[in-house]
Amino acid sequence: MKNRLKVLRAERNWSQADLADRLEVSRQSVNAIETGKYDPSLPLAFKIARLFGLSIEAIFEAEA
Amino acid sequence: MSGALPKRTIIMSATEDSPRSRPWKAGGAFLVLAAGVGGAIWAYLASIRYLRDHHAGPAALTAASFVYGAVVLTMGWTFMRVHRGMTGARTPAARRYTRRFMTAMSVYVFTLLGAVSALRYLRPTGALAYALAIAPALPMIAAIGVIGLYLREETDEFQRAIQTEAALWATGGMMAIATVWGFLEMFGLVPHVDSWCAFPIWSVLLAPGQLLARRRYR
Repeated sequence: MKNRLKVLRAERNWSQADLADRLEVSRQSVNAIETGKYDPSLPLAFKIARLFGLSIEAIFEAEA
Repeated sequence: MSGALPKRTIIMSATEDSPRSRPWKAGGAFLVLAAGVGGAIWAYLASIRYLRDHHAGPAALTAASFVYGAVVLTMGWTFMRVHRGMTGARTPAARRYTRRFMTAMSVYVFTLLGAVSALRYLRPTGALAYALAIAPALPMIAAIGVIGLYLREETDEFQRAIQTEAALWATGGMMAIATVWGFLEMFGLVPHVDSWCAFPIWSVLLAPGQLLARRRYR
């Protein structure tokens, strides 16, 4: 699933590991989500959205 | 030195351990380990058969079991190291899994030693014989439970998804091997293999299962 994680992360100057720490997941998980290869569960998607103070739709974009 | 430096160093080493950097190396290590595990089981069964045929005493059989146990533990430990190198991520649940699994395997080795010695020395019959024969299976079953416990305790859903898929690959592979071997055995083309070998082989198959499960996320 396409997403804006990389941009949001860059805006805050966070590394993948920094974001992983904040989400309490492994760095590999952040990498897999960011590259769109793994779709997070709804609870994790909410956690990501809350961390950035955005809605899920503002971060993730379903392929048309 | 800035205070942030040590943390950065840890992050760098975690990056080096990422599966992308050396899948071929893990694959090679896996092949060596698989050959080692197969060789160890074969050598153990062959030596027990040889000792039995030559009417060796209980001491010799116990010694053979002890060597086998040492090999199993060494293999298990090496396997954990390779596994760690492959997966990179060490979540708290994964660390607990490693500790519990190695404990179960250690208990297995000592239970096997005890059971083999007791069966030789005491020559029990009836219920006691059954109990002694089943004893080494219990820590193995515990090891299977430890894997289930890990899948339940893993809070990193991405890692859990990968490990679950790896377990399914290993299960499919194990069933395929058992089916092929069963027919080969039926036609008398290969020797008999004891069914307790299923779990060790399944555990070994977890490694290629990991590679297959992770392939999609590279």
